[in-house]
Formats: sequence, structure tokens, C-alpha cells
Amino acid sequence: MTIRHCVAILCAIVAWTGSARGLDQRPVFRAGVDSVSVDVSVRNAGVPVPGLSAADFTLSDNGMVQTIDAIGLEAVPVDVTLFLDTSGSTSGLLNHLKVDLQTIAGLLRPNDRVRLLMFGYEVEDVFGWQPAGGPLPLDHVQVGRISSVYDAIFLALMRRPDVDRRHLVIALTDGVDAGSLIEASTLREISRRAEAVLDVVLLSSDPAPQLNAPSGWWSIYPGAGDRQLLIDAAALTGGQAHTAAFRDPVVSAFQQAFDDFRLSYLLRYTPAHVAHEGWHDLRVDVPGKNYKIRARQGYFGG
Amino acid sequence: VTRQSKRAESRIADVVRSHSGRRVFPKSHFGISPGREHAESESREPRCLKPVAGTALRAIPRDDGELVAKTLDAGPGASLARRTAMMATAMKHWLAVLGATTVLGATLPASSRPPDSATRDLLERYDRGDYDSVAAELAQSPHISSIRKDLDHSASAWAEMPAVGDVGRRRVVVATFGLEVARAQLETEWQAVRSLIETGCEIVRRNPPGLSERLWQLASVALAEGGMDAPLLLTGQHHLSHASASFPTEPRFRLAKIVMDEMFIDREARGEDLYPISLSTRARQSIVATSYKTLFDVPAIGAEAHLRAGYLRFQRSAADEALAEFIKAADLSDDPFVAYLAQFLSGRTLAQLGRSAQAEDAFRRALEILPDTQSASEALSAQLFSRGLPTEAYALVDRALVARPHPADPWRLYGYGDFRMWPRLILQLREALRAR
Repeated sequence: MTIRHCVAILCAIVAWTGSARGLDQRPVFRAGVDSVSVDVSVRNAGVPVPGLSAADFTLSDNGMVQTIDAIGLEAVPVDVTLFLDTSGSTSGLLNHLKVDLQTIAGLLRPNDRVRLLMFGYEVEDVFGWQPAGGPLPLDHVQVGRISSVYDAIFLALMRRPDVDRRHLVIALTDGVDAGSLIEASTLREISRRAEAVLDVVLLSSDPAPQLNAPSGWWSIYPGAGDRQLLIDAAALTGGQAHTAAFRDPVVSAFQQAFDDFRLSYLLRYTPAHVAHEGWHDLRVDVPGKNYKIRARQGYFGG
Repeated sequence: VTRQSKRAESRIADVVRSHSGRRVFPKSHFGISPGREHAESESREPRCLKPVAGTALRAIPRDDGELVAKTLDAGPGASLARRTAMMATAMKHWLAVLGATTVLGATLPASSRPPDSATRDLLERYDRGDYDSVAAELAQSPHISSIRKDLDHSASAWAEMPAVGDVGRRRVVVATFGLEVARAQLETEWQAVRSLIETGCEIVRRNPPGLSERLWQLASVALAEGGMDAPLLLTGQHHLSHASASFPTEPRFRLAKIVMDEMFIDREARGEDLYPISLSTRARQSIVATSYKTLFDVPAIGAEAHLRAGYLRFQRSAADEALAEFIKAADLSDDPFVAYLAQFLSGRTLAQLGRSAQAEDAFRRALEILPDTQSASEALSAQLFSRGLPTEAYALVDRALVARPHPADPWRLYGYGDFRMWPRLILQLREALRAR
């Protein structure tokens, strides 16, 4: 290699570094080998705390304090997975929920995306990822033949967020599971390690389900109606549970969950002094303040 | 007078159809959410079902003059005098209804009037072999409920219309059209459409057993299994017994009866009154397992019987016995449904035993048989994620949610017996009608 070649390569590196620095003005968030992003909700007396900077946070990865490279708020587009429990026990709510879903879709920002999971003969992705803004194609949404709430939440959570996007899962369910392959302990474990934030809107029971629908063949086992499990699962992802009384619009519960997520901070750091592979425990704090902080508890590296 | 007469006919038909009250429990009643009220409703039973012993039908006039049917429970605890009194009351009301009908000049039973024009148009197109488009229209039709009600009353009249073609063929045509209507509303109006099956059965059984009659019975039982319909499949003079009586050597009817017994174990445990004698779950499982054994050597269904016997063992935590049954099922079957489930359930059994690597292998074998199927993808994904391999776990779920493989997930259809065969059976039935 000649000196001329070396100079050319050096110039190219300098030029690339310059452009990369320019790009750094716009935060790039991605959980991966080199950088990790963490959604952090900071609230004071129930109200989101604005205006914090990277210096206000401490973040440790497997016990090692990390340097926060970037902090983002609001601007990062959100992918929202809505899971609508269309099992027989919520069938009396179905038409109301369809109306609510259209309203919910209208609350998303232009850069956000939405997909809808519901029950049919299995957990169905009704229309795939849709850009926000347009009406949702809900004509074919009807009472499903399964009631596998844990399965649906598992399938919703099992997704690595796309580059530059965050993933929020909102489950609208009465919390009554039947016939799931995923057991309660597994759901807890998966929630602890998921890269999405789960919020659960717990619908009150339906006093008048559609009795004309045929029954399913699932088994109902002890603990299947354990709402606390879903509340715990949400908390483990850094999300929370909301409630909606029977036939109350779930829009306000969604709005609360979405706003909370939108107003949460997104911290990015490059792990240092820890092995890339394996499970990483995360701890996030705002020292000296008595804020309520919610964030996911860890991630898989490598 | 004509309008009044039709109204009276309609009332009688309603009364006949509604002769048995049945409690239907929503999911919220199954003892899992204390404090929830259970809903109780009276649903319509197929018209050819006989009242079960110890019950009496009573036609009761409402304030608005309509007649409603009500089942009065005169169960084992009721005294003979009370039961006799109830039967007498019911008889008195029946006579009153019949008398009124006669006075109004209504001499034809409700089921013998011709169909309305919209139903007739669809039916005649179906008769001419326009099967696919008629079925597609029924699936999308906003008037499907009207068509169903009309057909319920007019199927027999259409089939028996004098001097119009081969009456034997017309019977199977109208009964098959009824199945298409029932399928279009299975998920939403099962309690209403189930009577179409019994009406169709009544019409088809007027023919001597033949190919199209056999296919009709197989398709109708498959549909009833899809509806998880206890009255059609288990009780008294049920539809399945009619099908079995018409085709006594048909092995799938033998299997269907035991599959439904298996599937109703949970419902019995939840308090539904399905059998003359209530048994514990364990006792019922033993009976069903023994019944499956009797089918092991029947070539057409032996593999599936092994599979289902294995699942019963799995539920009872008899893992080794379950695995042995799944291996036999896999060895004997060339049916992807059975082969997939043999691997999938082996995987679940192995996972339960903590043999994770072997469980993963079994789930992978299941996915080789039916790629991207949700149940095995999900089970394998959970195993991989727990082992710290999220990338493959995510990819499995991504593909499973997007793929929508056909046939549908065997695990989710496991409890619906031969309902999985409905798409194939209805095509065969249409072909048989075309050739007839």
C-alpha cells in the first residue's frame, strides 16, 4: 500500500467520521450488540417529569455504571401492537371495542405504526403493520374460538424493535385466560426479558356475552383468571395496568398508556466493562429525587 | 286470516324448536372469577330431538299474545303426581295451540312452505352447480339470518316439490345448501344454525344410503363438531346417532363420538349437565381412554386414536405412556394433522419433563411437517428465548404471525374433531352432487 493510498483512506475515514458526527445530532436508538436503548418512565405524584438530561440519570448494566450517550423524548416513532381479546367472555363488548379502536388509531402520530392481534382460531395479526392515520380494517373482527390471553401477549412481546422505533404493546382484555400454551411462570420470565413495553387495559367482565357463539374446547385451569399476573407482567416490562369498567370506552385508558409511553425517556448507552453475551440486569435511577421510575429490567446481549 | 295462520304456524315451529331449555355458561362463570354472575338462557334445540326424560314442555302465552315455550324441570326428585300434572298442563297448552291453528285454517306444518324468492334464487343456483359463488355470497351476505330462517321453514317443501327433477338429489342439494348456510354462521349464530343440520339430516335420511348421503353425514358431523354441540353429538336421539345408524361401518363416526366425550370432560367438570350420570374428571378420562383403545386397530383412525389417547395420558401427567402413544401415532399416520400433533405433543411432554433439547427437536420436527404453524413456533420460541437465544425466537414468531399457514393450526383445531375436514368434505360433497 502506497503513502497515497494511506492518505486517501485516512481522508475517507475523516470524512465518514464527520458525517457520522452530523448524524449523531439525530439520535439513533437501537438495542443491539453495540448500543442499548431503554425506555424510562419518570413520574412525580403521577405526573410525567419533563426536562431531564442524561446527567440526571444513573444507569447500571450488570452492576457496572454506564455512560448515557443520548436521551430522547417524544420524537421517536412508536410501533403500537394492540391486542384485542375477542374471546367469548368479551363478546358483548366487541362492537364498542371496534369503535374505540378506530378512535385509538386516530390518536397515533403520523410516524407511528399500529398492528392488531386478536383471537380467531389462533392468534391472528389482522392487517400487519399499518401507518397511523387511516381507518383500521375491522370488518372481519368477530368473536374468536380461543381465549389464550397469555399466548397472545407472548406473541405480541416477542419482537425486536426496528431501528429508530420503540415498541409498545397494549392488551385490551378481561384477563381470563384459557388454553394457553404459555404458562404463568413463562409469561413472567418473558416479560422480564422483553424489549417491548406492555400496558394492560383490564376490562371488567361482560355480563352479557354472545351466547349464540359456539363454545371452545379449551381447558380452564386454576389461576386462569389471575389478573395480578398480567399486572405483574406489565410492570416487569416497565409498563403498567389500567382498568376500564364495562362498556366504558377504553380510549382514555389507551390515551393514558400511550401518553405515558410517549413522554417516557429513551436512554441509549454503549455497554462498557460488561460481557456482551447473556442476560444483563439493568438499574435506572434519578439520584436525589423521589420519582417513580419504570423501566425494563434487563436485556439479552450478544 | 292467512297472516294470522302463518303467525300461528310460526309460533308452533318456535315452540317445537324450543322444547328443551339449556343452560349456557359464559367463561366468567367457571369458578375463576368470584362474584361474577352467570348468564342463563334458553336456547333452541333441534326440532327432531325428543324431550329428555323427566322434562315437560309448556307453551306459555306472554302478555303480548306471543307464545313462548318453557321447559319445566320434573327431574328425579319430583313426585310422580307433580310430573303427571306438569305433563297434563303441557298437553293442555299444546292442544290449545293446535286447536287455534286448526281454527285459523293452518293445515300445513311450518316446514312445508316454499322458500322466499331470495333464498329460492340462491338455492336454485346452488342446485345448478354454482357452488363456489353461492357459498361466497352466503359468507358475505348481510341477509344470512333471513335466509337461514327461511330455509329452516322451507327446505322440505323445496326438496319434495312434485315433478321437478330427481327428488333424491334435491333432498341432498337442499340439505347441503343448509350446511353451507350453517357454516357461514357457525362462529356467530351457532345456536340458531344448528337446527339446519337436524332438518337436513331428516331430509337426507329419506334417501337410501349412497355416496352423497354418506358425504353429507360426514360433513354435517364435522360441522357439529366445529360447533362443539353437545345436544347434536351426545344427547338422546342425537344427530351423530342418526349418521351412525345410516352408515354403521363408518369409522369416523365412531371416532367422533369418543372425541366429543373427550372434549366434554372439561365442560362436565365445570358443571354442565351432559350425561345421565356425572363422573369425576379422572373417571371420565379413563372411560374415554379405554374407548380410544378399541379403535387402535382400525386402519383409518387408529393413528388418531393413539394420538388422542396420548394426550389424555399427557393431561394425567403420565409422560412415558403419553410419549409411547405419540410415537405410535407418528409411525402409523400419513395424515399431516396427526403427524404434526404427535411431534408437537411429544415436545410439550418432553418440555414438561425438563428435557429441553429433545423438546426443541420435537417442535422442529413438527414445523418440518407444517412450517410456520403457530403452536409449535410459539412453543419452540419460548424454549429458545428461555435459553437466551432471542434472535431465532423472534424470527419464529414473526413468521408464524404473518404466515397464516393452511391447513390451520392442528393444535387449535384439536378439540373440534373432524371439523378440520370440513373444507375437503364440502368440496367432495359438491362434486358428488355435480355427478349425480
